[in-house]
Amino acid sequence: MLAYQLRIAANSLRRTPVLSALLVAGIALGVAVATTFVTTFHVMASDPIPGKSRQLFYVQVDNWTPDRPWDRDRPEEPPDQLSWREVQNLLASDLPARQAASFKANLTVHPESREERPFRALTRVTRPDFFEMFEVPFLYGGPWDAAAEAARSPVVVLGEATNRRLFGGDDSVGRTVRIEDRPFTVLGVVAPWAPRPKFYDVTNGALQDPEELYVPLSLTLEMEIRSAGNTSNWKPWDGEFADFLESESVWLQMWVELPTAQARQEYEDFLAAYVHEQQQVGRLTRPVNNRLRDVREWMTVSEVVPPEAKTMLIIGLLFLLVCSINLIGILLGKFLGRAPEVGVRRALGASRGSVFAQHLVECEVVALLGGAVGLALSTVTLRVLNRLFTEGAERELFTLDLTMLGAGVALALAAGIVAGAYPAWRICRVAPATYLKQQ
Amino acid sequence: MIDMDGVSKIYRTEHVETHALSTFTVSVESGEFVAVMGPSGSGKTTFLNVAGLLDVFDGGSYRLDGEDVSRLSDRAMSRIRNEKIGFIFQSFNLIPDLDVFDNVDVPLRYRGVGARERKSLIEEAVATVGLSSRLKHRPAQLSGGQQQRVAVARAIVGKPKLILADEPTGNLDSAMATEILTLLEEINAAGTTVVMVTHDPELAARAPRQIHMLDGRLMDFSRDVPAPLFDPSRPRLDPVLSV
Amino acid sequence: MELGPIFRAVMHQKGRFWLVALEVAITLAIVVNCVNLALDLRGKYDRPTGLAEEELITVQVEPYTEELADEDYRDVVRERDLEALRALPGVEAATAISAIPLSGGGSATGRRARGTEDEPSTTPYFVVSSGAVETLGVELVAGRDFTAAELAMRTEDFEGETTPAVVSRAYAEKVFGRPDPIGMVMESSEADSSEYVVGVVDRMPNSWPDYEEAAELSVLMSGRPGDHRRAYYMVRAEPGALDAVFPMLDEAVLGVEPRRIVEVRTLLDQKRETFAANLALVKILSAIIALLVFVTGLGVVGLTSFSVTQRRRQIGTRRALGATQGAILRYFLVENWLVIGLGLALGVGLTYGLNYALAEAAAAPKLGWELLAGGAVVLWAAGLAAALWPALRAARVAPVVATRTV
Repeated sequence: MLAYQLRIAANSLRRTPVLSALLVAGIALGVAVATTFVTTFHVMASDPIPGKSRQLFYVQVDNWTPDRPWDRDRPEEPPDQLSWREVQNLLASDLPARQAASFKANLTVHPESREERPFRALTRVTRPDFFEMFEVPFLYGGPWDAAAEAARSPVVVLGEATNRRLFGGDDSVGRTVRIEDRPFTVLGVVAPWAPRPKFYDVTNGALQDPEELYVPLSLTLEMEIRSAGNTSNWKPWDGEFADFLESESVWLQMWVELPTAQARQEYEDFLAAYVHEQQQVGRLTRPVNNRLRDVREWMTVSEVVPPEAKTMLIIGLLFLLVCSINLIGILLGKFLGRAPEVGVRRALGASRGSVFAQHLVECEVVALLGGAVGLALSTVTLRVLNRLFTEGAERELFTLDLTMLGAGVALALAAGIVAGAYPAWRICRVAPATYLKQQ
Repeated sequence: MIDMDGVSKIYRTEHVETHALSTFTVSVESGEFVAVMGPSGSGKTTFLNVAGLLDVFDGGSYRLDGEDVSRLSDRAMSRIRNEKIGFIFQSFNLIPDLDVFDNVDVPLRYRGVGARERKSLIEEAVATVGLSSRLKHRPAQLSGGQQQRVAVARAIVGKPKLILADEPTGNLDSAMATEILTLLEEINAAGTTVVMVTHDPELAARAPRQIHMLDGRLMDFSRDVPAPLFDPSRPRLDPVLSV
Repeated sequence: MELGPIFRAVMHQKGRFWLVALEVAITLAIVVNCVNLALDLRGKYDRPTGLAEEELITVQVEPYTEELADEDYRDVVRERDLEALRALPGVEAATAISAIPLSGGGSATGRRARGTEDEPSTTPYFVVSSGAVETLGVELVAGRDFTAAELAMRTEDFEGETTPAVVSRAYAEKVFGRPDPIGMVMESSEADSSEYVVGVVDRMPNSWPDYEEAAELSVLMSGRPGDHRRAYYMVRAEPGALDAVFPMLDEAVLGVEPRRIVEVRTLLDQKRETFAANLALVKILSAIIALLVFVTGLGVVGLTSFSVTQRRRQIGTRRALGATQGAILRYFLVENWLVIGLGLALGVGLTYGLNYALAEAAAAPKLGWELLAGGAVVLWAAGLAAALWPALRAARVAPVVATRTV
C-alpha cells in the first residue's frame, strides 16, 4: 500500500514541477535555519563526556567572608573556584578514585632555534590524574606519574599543534623544550582534543581553545606561575608569591572521580568534616556550604550555554513554523485543484481515511526532499557561523553529527505534517458527487 | 432597448475558429419580455454576454437604450451595467460569505449611494421578492429558490431598465421555477425590459415573445425551416447501424 | 468604501484569511523581537565610551627574562618605554596601564563611600602611570588629573594609605550620589583600602563593556602598573597618524629591552574582538529578519493569489453588477489590509508573549512599544505591497466569467 501511495505521490509531484519545487524550497529553507540553530544549541548543551559525566564531580568549598556572599545575585552559591590551601588540603584525601586540581596560565616557550622568537603558550597546570579522568587521548607517550608530580619534575605534555610547531609533528618524547627558560622533558603528545564546551574550566567562557602545554601543579610555587583565568579574593594580601598561595584567593578548579554513589557519599562526608575542622581552626568562617556537582549539574549552574544560543534555537524553530504555515496555502491550492480526481477516486471506493493518508504521504515525500536539501544547506550556514564565531580556530565548532541529522529529518517530517494536515483534511472531505458532473 | 445589427463574436484558438454569433441582428423594444431559445451551442449565452456588455463583439453594431456601445471604455461599460442592467444567473452567483442584505447591497455600493438610501432600496427589493424575514441569512441557509429570489432582488435593487436572465430556473424544481417566472412577470409589468435565455419550452411559452437561435444566428420561422435532425433521404453514417 | 461587508465576509470565512493573519502575527513577533535583540547588541557596541577610540593603540609586553622580576628594574624599563613611545613622531601621548579597557580582561574590587553602610559597589579599576587622562582622551568635568607627586606613590597593594583616584561620572553618582565628590573618600568594606577622589571624567569604560550592571563604572588609580609577567601601554596617535605610528611601536619598545614578547593592536581591533560574538549575532539576526519578511511576503502573495483564483466567479459577478477594475483592485487591497491588520493585532499579544519567554529563558532585553508599533507599520506596508500583484490579477478577471458554467 505504501509503495502505491509513494508512486502516486511521485507522479503528483512530477506533474506540477514548479509548484513542487516551491514546496521543497519552502521546507528546505525552514529546515536549514532550524537545524542550524538546533545544532549550535546542541553543541553547547550536550554532554561533553558521556559515560563519565556522572562520575566526575566539581568541588566547591565556601571560604568567603561572612560579611557578604561571593555572588550577590545568587547569595547561596559558594565561590566557583578553590584556593591553593584548600586544594593542597583536599588533595591529601585518598577517597576519590582519581582527582585533579588545575588552572590555566600563559608560559613562554623558547624555541630551539635562536631565530624564532619566544612565544606564549596556553598551559594547563595540573596533576597527572587529569588525563585519565577526562580521557585525554595521546599520540605519543603519556602523562607524568605521581612520583614525578611529588618530585616537582620539569616535565611537560605537548599539544599536537605545539608539537608540530616545535618538532615537525615527530615523536618528541624525551626531547627537551625550554619553558620560561628552563629545560622541560617531553613525556607525551596529546592528540587533537578540544571538548566543547570546555567543561573542566568554564571560567572566561566555555568555548575557549584547549591548552597547548600541560605541566605539573607542583611547579607552581617555584616557578611562580600565575593564573591566566579569574582570580577573586575578598581579603587583600601583600608580600611575595608564597603569601599569595597562602591567601584566600580562589583561582583553581578541582575535579574528583567518584565511580559509585557510595564513594560520592563518603567524599561528601569527608568534605563536611574537613570544613568543620577548618572552622574550628578559625580559617573558614562561613557556614558549611560545600558543593559536589557532576558534569551536567556544573554546566547548568555555570550557565555554560549562552542565552543567545537558547534565543536562536527558539527563533529557528519559529522560523520553520512560519515556513510550514506558508506552505499550507500552496498545498490547499494544489490539493483542491485536484478535487475532480479525488471525487472520482472516492466514487470508485476510496475511503476518507485513505484519501487523507494519500495526501499526507505526498506531503511527507515533499518534506523529506526538502529536509535533504535543507540539511545540505545547513552545512553551508554552519560553516558561515563557524567563520563568524571562531575565527582561526583549529577545529570546526559547529558540525552536523548523526544526532543532528536525525533532528533535521524529524524537523522536516514535523513541518510536513504542520503544512499538510489541514489541506489533506480539506481534500478528503470532498463529496464524490460534487465534481463528477463538471468537465 | 436592444438594437443589434449584424453583430458577430468569434472565438479563436490555435486550431479552431468558432463563430459564436454570426451576423446577429435582433431588436428588443423597451418594456418587452423576450425568451431566447435554442439548443446548447447555439450562442444564447454569448448573445446575453454581448447584450449585457459582459463581453465585447467583433463585428456589427449594438445600440443599448439608444446608445452606441461598441467603443466604450471598460469604465463606461461598468457604469452602464451598474445603472441600466440587472443580471440573473443560472447558478445564482451569490457571494457565500455575505448575508442577504449585503448581497443585495453589492450593486448599490458601486454606485456610491448613501447608507440610508441603500437600506431603504434593499428593503424594498427584498420585500418585492418576499424574503424580508431572511435579511440576515447566508446563502447556505437558503433553498435554491430562495437564493434565486435574492439574486432577483439584487438585480432589481438599482431599478435597472433591462433585466438579463441566463437560464434563471435551470437549477430549480418546477414549483420554484414558476415562482421565479411570476416574479419576472411582475417586474416586467412594472415597465422593465426582460430578456430571458432558456431551453425550457414551457417556460419560454409564457413569455409574450420568443426568439430562436441556432449556430449563432437568429432563426426566423417565417422564412427558414431548420433542417430536420433526421432526414430519411440522407444515409446515416453511424457505423453501428450501417449495413 | 465597502468596509462593512468586507469585514463581515472576512469574519465569516475562516480558513484562508486566518492563515495569512496567523502567519503575519508570528512574523511580527519574531521580527520585532529580533530587531529588539539586534539593536540591544549593536547599541552596546556603538555606545560612546569617552575614549579617543580612533587614535588609541595598545601595546602588550611580556618579558621572558628573570631580570624583569625585579620591581626597581621594571620601574626603570617602564619609564624608558614611555619615553621611547612618547618620542616617536605622530605620538601625542602614552601611558602605562594595568589592563586594556574594553578588552574583557581587567580587575575589579568593591568600594563604598566612607561613612556610609551601603553595599560596596563593583569598582572596575585601572592602575595607571602618568599621562593617562591625556592618552585615553577622557574629558575631565570636575577636579583634576593626578599630580606628579601622586603618581610617584607606590600602590601595588591596597592596604594602608589613601591614594588618589579619578572616577567616571557614573561611578561618582553611584557611590557618592553626586557628580563632583572631589576630596571624598571611598573604601573597602573592611576599611583596609581606600582612595580619595581627585577628579571626575565625563565617561570612561571598564574592561567589560558587555556587563550591563557595571556599565560606565570605571576608576583610575595612580601607581606602577604591570608586573613581571605582563605590562600594557596605551599610545594615542595624533589625528590621522595612527597608521604611521602603528608599525613603529614594537621596535621602540624592543629597543629599550629586547627580551620581551610584544603585541601591538589598535583599540578598535581589540573592541571588535571583544564584541565579535555580539556583532556576529547581529549579522545573523539581520539575515533572519530579511529571510522571514521575504518568506512571509511570498506567503501573502501565494495565499492571496489562491484566494483570488477561488473567487473568480465572484469577481466576474461583481463586474457584471457594475464594478470597475479599479473597484475590484481596491476591494482586494482593502481586504488584504484588513486581514493583515487583524494578523498584526493578534501579533501584538504574540510579540509580547515571545519577548516574555525570551526574557525568562534567555535573558533577552525587554520590548518597548515604539519598536512594536514601528514593526507593525512596516509589516502592514509590506503586506500591502505583497498583495498588489494578486489584486491586479483579480482586477483583470473578465465580467464574462460570471456566466460561465465551468
